[in-house]
Amino acid sequence: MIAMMAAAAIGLPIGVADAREAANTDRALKTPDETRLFGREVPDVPLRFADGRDGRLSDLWADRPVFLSLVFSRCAGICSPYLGLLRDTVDQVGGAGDQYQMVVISFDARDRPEDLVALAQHHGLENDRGWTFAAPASSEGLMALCQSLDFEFRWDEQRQQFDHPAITVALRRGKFVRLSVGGEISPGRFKDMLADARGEFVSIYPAPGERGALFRCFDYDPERGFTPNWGMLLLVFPGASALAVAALMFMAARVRSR
Amino acid sequence: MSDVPSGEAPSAIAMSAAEERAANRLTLLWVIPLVVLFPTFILFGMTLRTAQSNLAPIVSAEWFYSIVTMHGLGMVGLWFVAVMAAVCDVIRKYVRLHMWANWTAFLGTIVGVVMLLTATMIGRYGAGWYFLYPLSIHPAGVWADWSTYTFLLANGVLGVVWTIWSLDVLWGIARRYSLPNALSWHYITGEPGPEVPPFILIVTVSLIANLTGLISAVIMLALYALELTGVTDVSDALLMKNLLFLFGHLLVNIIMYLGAGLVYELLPEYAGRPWKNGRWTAVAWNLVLLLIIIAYFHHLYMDFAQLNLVQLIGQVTSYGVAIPSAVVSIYGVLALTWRARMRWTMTSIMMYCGMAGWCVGGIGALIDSTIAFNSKFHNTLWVPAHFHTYFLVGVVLMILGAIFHACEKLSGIPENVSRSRLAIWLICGGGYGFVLMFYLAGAMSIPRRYALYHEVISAGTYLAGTALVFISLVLAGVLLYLWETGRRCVVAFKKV
Repeated sequence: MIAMMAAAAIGLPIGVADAREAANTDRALKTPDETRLFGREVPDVPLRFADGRDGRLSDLWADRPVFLSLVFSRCAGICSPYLGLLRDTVDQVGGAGDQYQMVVISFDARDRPEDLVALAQHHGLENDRGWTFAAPASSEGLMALCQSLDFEFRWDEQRQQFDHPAITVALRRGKFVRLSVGGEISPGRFKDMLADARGEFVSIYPAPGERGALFRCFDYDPERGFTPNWGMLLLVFPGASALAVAALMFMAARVRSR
Repeated sequence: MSDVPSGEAPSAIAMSAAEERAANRLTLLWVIPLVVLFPTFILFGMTLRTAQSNLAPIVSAEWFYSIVTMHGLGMVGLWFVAVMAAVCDVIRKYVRLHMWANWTAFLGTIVGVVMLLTATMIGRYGAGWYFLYPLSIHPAGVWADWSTYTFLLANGVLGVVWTIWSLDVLWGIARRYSLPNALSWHYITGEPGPEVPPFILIVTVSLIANLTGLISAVIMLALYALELTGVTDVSDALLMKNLLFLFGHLLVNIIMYLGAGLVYELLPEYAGRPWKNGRWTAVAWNLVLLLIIIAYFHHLYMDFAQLNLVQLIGQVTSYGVAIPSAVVSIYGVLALTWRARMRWTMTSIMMYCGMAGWCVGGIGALIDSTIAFNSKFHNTLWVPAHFHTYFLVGVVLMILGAIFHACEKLSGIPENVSRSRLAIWLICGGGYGFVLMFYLAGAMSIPRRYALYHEVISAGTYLAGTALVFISLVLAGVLLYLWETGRRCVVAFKKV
């Protein structure tokens, strides 16, 4: 108990059964921060899959990027609608099971394989090979996984529910790449996360020459390379106009002095 | 107008007692922002190095970048207005200026600085003094939108009032000299013309270049406004970076050139010899005007999308703009002081040391502007090393010397030799120690713009800690200087 309270005090995730014993605190749960998580290794924890098989997280990320969501089946709050929205986004983007794997992991030790099957069935995902439902095989594994993702959850005795954020993380070969926090991931955002997880370059503004900007320095064509654009004149204008203003000013002063 | 440059001192213009009094009062008023802001911005810098040294976890990463923004932009802005105030004080004997332009600059600067402090210290705007696109307007929730608008508006206010100020000084020169004469072309061609002080030449060159930078800033702010108001969806990042450094590089260099101009004008008073204009001085400073506008390309060596030809132009012009002006100026100072009956005072020592610092920092800058070296040094602390050298122990000393000169002259209080020597020793000794830590860190590939150092670059931590000792010496020296200058300023204000 003392150890659990100490863990809670320093912001570590609280174990499942123990969490329900832990006293409620007023401290707000911390939301994971993508910048702090980037590149962090996620532990290869043992899992118990919804179909009853045992395995490890690395079995899932060995071949393709993994999108990992943390939920619990008895959630009366965000978990179920969150999974529904995530399923819709994945359906729109496509490629689950081939290009990437969706992995839903329960952080509630009460969740048994049959609970996870029911959760998958509720969303029509029980036979979708792009989706895997599982729970850590041990509380130590769960603790290690949650700690590695800075994922905090806390038992609310009054509501008989866990407080927790809704997150999905993108992993590439066991390392953190991107994070989505909140109720919905747009298809565009999901594609960005996927591209990042596949090691592709994701630009945050247009490449040189890409349409959209009113003025551009250069245009780029893979065959012709870089060519100056009219926007380049904006770089000539300050010098030319400063010289012109100075010349006009000196001429005006001469005229006035006569 | 005389037929040939006679070699005699150009005649001073007559001012009424009331005009003289009003101009002197405003010069003295400009000392107030210096007294308040210089130590404040030094403390900001100390905060940054303290955070990097791990000696005290006093700021978060977000705060670190807000303070970096204010420290950088604040220092550049402070020294621009300080050097312009000193230039206006000195140039009044040659040309007539409008008081309203100087007052507009003074009041506008105060408004701009308050807005910048609000944006960074309250709104936590933290895109750095260079506020590179797209971070500058896409903060990802780190700072509020209002602070972005306030920051950009502050730059707009400062840009407008500084443009008015620059134009007024140029107009004053234009009323006395033709453009070819102000640029000393008759010294190059050997044709007849009036005697033109090198100070006038340097100010003319600098202010035309300054106009270029300010127009560039206007275009950049207009593009920001188009995007922020939804007229355009996005801006070209490379174009924005070019515009930013066309403005920023020019602003920083103009401060140095105007500082050098003050040395050309004031140091002869202490040497007892005139510093005359001549062919090579004219050639060097006209080259500056021609090349400074395109030398900024060396800030974009890391931008692969910039054409290779442009990068080469950046390297060639960096050398072309730095060497002539520096060689002519350094040779001029050495020739002026060699076997002269020098009066070594706070002003003359600061100006002499300032030229030396300009030279040292300039060499660091030239190394950094060489593509082969830049590819190694660009993202390291070598960059802050060289610009802190030519600022802190370079042009800042020149400007401080000029300001002390004005306050000493107007107050009539003679210099306290022991205190002035101590202040100079503290600023120079501390300053060189401080920049040495940056140079060593740069040589060790310690990255710049990092709030905290990873253990693999932990050398940055103890170098930052050591730098703190030296900055403390600088701060002590600056406070002593400000005490000496400030009390003369108060007495002078009562007298005039």
